[in-house]
Amino acid sequence: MADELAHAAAHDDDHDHKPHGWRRWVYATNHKDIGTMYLIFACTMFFIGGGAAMLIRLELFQPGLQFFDPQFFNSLTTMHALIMIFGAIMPAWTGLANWMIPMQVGAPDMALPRLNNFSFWILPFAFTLLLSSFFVPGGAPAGGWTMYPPLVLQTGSSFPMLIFAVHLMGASSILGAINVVVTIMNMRAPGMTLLRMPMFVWTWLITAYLLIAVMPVLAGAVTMLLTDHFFGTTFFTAAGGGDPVMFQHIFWFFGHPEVYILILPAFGIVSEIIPTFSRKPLFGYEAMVYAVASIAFLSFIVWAHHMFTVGMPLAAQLFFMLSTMLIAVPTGVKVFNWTATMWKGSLSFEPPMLFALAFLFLFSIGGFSGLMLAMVPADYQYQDTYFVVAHFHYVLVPGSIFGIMAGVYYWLPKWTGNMYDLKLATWHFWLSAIFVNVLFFPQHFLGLAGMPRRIPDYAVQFTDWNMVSSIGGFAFGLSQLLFPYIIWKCARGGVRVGNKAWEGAHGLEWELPSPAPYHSWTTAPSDAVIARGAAH
Amino acid sequence: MPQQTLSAPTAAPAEAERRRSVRRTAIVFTLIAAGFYFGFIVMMLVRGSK
Repeated sequence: MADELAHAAAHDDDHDHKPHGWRRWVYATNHKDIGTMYLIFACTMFFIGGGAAMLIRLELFQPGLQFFDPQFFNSLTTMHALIMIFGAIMPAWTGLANWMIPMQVGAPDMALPRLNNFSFWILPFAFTLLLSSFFVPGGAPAGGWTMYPPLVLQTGSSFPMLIFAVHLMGASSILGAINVVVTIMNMRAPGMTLLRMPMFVWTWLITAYLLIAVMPVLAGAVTMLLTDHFFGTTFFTAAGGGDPVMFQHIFWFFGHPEVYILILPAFGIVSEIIPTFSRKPLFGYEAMVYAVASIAFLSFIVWAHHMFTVGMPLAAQLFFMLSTMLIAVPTGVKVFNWTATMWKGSLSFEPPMLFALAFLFLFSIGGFSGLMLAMVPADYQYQDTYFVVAHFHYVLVPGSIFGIMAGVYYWLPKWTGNMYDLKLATWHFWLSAIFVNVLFFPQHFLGLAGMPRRIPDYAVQFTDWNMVSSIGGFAFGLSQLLFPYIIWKCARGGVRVGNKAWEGAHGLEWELPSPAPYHSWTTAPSDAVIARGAAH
Repeated sequence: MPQQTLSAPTAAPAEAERRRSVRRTAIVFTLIAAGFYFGFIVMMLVRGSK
């Protein structure tokens, strides 16, 4: 009996009993460990994809072919996009979801921990496969991340590697999304009703629905590419009666919701940070939830705005133009609500708030240029120019990436129990905010002047703004080295923080000790604690 | 940190029901994902055969 009691005490759920050594990570089922692995993986991919971006900017520093042959340049642009989208941003969001969702809904862990382990460990294999394609005959894929046939069917030995890697990434995302939906639907603490959930949880729930709906569509499309290439089918081969334009429709049926998959969790994080540092509840919580859901719904009916110039009936052009412009309405609701939250608030400007504010301003610029691109006659002019490159980079860098950085700087004290170097993080913010604009704003001018995208060389009249953009790119890229250094320094030590690292923070995660215990909510939080957390 | 603990007799059925619910939700969403994957391929096959 005494032995049984001693054994029970040794395996009490409340203490931080955890495996040690490599087994902790390879066999990880703890949501925090898996979240950490996702974030480290995403950071690694961010620097690999960023390295490719700096090589691209190096080549474009001045006209003429300086360093790379055009084929390799095209490989760089293709791989940069694939790595950043599927290797950096999406895993970073999944890492944040893993860390925060169980803590925020009062659950002990994700609902399917072993599946969680599997969905992470797929990723290193997928990206090893993708990155090793640089070393096979014909080089890495160079047909663009959109993989349009017939161009992509001309890819050399790396073609099956690309297709298999995309399948693996898709499987990982779908499994991760199923885990998120199952956790939120089944593991919430009693009293954590849907309309008490934090905005980050809401945005991730909607993101997960999008992932489950559209990642299989991409998988289906690339499966058909594979059979076209190797098994004699002609889904997308015009010579055999197939339709290459149909691939574009299917791809963008995935591709446009994918843009929202990359940005919706950032909306959630900004909706957590702005109230905290304004010391006010979020203005219009329910309107925010409905706005996010509306944006997600609309994302399914706008896909053809990516292909206006392909030749489509006028009625289709009008439909896709107007449905795209409609997205500005729920987006406007969100921007208004964030601004109204700050109105007459007691603002302070710690690094998470700085990144959230930069997100607000710079993402709006990306949104406005998106509206310009939504207009069919204007799009005929802008199509395939650097204006498009500027637009989506404003959405994805100061949008998604700044959102991720804001989230990391917001929750890092909770994860480590230490406050990070605020001064260095503020430096990181200002360098990033300044140079992201030096990098991408001139690309609007280049696009409007007619510089095409995806080219290694250009006419001399585009030289000046390309030089400015490249200088911005090098400075932005180098300044990002501060980010892992600040995290590493914080993980090693620093000023200890209490449960609530930020004075104005609300939410269940701030009711837990800092650093968060290995097992979060082994017993469900009380209704009073949940009500205190749901301050909106 | 105030917490509420379910008493042992009620916890076990609730936990079993939660496990069933987790499994059900996971299966439903897996089927939805598989439906989108095969649905688009079948749609292309049907379109191509016309």
